[in-house]
Amino acid sequence: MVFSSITFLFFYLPIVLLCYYLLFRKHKNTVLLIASLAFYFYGEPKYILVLVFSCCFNYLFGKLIEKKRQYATPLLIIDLFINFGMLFYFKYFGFFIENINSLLDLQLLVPNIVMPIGISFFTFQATSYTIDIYQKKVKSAKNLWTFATYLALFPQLVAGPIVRYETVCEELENREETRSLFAEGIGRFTIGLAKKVLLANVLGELVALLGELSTPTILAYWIQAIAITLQLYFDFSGYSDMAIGLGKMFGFHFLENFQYPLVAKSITDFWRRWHISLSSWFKDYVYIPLGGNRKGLIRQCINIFIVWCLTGLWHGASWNFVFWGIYFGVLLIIEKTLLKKTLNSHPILAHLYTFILIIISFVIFHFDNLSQLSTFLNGMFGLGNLSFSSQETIYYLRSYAVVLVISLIAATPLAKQLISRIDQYPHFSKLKDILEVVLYFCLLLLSVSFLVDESYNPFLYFRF
Amino acid sequence: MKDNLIIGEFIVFIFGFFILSFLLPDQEVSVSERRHLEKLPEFSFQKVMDGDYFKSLDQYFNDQFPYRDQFRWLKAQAQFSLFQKLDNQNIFIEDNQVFSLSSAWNEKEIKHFTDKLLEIKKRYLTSNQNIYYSIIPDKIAYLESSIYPKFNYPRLNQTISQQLNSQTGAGSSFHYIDLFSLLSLDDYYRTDIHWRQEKISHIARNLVEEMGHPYVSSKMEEHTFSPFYGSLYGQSALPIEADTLTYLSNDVLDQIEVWNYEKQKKEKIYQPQALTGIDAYSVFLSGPSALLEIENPNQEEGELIIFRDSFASSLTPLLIESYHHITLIDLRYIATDLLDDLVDFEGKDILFLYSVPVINQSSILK
Repeated sequence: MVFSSITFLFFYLPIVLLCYYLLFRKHKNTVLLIASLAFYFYGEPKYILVLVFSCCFNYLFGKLIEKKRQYATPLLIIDLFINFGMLFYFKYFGFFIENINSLLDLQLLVPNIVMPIGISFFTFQATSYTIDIYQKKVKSAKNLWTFATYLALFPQLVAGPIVRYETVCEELENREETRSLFAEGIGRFTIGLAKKVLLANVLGELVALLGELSTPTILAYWIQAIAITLQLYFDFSGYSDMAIGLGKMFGFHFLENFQYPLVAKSITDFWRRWHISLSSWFKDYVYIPLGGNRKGLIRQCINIFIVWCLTGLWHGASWNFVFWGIYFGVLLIIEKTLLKKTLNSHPILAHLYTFILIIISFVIFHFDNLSQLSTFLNGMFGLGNLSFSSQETIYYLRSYAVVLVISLIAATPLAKQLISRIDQYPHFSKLKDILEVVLYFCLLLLSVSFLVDESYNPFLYFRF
Repeated sequence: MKDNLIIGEFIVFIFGFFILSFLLPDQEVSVSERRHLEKLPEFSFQKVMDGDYFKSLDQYFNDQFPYRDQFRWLKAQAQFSLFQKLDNQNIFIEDNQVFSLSSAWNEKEIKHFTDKLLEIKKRYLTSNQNIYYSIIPDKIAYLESSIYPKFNYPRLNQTISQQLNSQTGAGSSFHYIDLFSLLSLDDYYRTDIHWRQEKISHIARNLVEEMGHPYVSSKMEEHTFSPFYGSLYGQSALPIEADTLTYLSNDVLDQIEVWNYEKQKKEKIYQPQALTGIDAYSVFLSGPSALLEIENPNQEEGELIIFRDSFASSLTPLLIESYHHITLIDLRYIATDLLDDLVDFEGKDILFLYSVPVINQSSILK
């Protein structure tokens, strides 16, 4: 099930809210657990057992690592081996066989394995839990139901953010659902829904239309590349907003996953703002254990390279994701060694440099067919005898101009800054409150109208 | 106060529609979209485990959502007024007419179209048969505004002509009959993709005469039906003045019987009962049909086979007075392989009459 669907909004959510708020405190986690399993079962009936297995297995190993300290290291290794083994089997095994075949000229049967939705997310959450217990950062969950509620919690189950146990363990046992938190959650959820339905989906249509042009042009390639970037941003950050908002409706505080990444001043800055929960996972569980920046510049560069190869591969079993990761790894190393000072002293140039490199990165991300990717990149830079523009290109530019402008503005903190300025004038606060209420209602109404008549509504990050 | 209002509007909204979904009866058909709506899927363990059950359930909830048409209207308004889009899902309104954007040039599909024609010629036609082809432009071709990208018709004609006649060899060639210069925007419905029968007598005359046959047409009586909402009307989801559908008849046409191979029964040329159905355009020759045989007892000469799409349904009644026998074959509904047993091609004139959207998506031709 996806959040941006009629089924979720008007059937699943009312029933879950009703059950959750009508029952006593001690049953609330049970409601959330059943609701979360039902949520997963709706989208992936066959693989519900994989999720249940992951809950039981990691709970058991968490307890064992905590109780049997003398065997903690081998237990953790087994736990990681099983978790990443499952991830490898479901996500990478087919890709691995394909590459073995082409590398060694073999004809091994490539298995057609369907990947359980969200396996990358819940595997990373589960491993962060057992590693944190091993490092004595957290205590193990009180019981299996509490842990299963954490791991399967439907707001963040299938597309993140990657919520660490340490950030919600207290709230799992004892949380307070307040009116203001619930209202905050509604606001955040509505904004996320609008980002996804009114912007990401519409930009997705533009991407598809420009991909089918009878005569591609340089301008069309650039518009498409910008639209791909914005679509990915609003798709994923919209989902994170909805997850955070839903969390608040049930009394949880999930950490932020995006901080306006498209206004970053460097690629280093970008990765502090984009998919924060993933980059901090890799930082804490791979980069720092490898030595981080503590063992000299060369070792640091090697560590960065390893982390970014893995980050790329995490996004999918395809070479474009590996190249995407390497691309960022190389850029981060260049920034660290050469560009840091230049970027700091030329802010406008730094923004432009970062934005263009981000656009190119998401083009690499978008095309899992390498020959299409190469054609696209050549097209962007005018290689291949292309005209600059055409009637079709201008038509789509005009038709989607307002959506593109709204998207570009919405990707910046401009609205947030405006609101904090208004907050400085108390006599405007009533007007601001009314506008906020009206805005949420309008966004909800519009989003539903787009969902009812939907033609394009995939969640891009579901495949991870 | 603010928090209460936010919570109140959200709760009323989601619970309101949740309750309404159960209170309001399910709809069978969406008249504006001209399609059957999804019904509550039948439960089966197998379907649940395959995930098909939940997919159907999603579709069901979407289709049966309360005030669906009003939400579709709201979306269309938002697209045009708020986002200033020039079209909504490829549909736009200009000068009180609904248009569909031309699909992008598809080399592969166009090649498939000419290959299909060549395949039919090779399999079923002899070297001395007359073979004609004609292309019906979609109505956007006649729109004056230069904003909207249009299909490149000269390029299409040239491509098809080259592909057909480069492989003709010693056999008879395909003769092109131009319709592009004979049509205008006024010849099409405002809310539908099709041409209006009462406006295309000159097209019928031109086709018959270009095929070297005398054109015969008795005086026609006009039958009108209003309001006619065409397929583009529903897709636009916006209020626009309805069309009037007119069909032309006379004593000769009233007598003629049409053999429908699928239904295995004889029918009349016009089906007035279809006027009040989902697709009023089906008044012409019963709408989508794989294979029709029309015999005119008042005419002794002339046999024509038309490979066609839906445009021919309204055109054929205007041709039949000039022929003794017309066979209509719609390859969207019958495979080329099956024609061997069903159609006698010998000595008959052949006309391939297709609209651009079908040519550019010709893989639907079996």
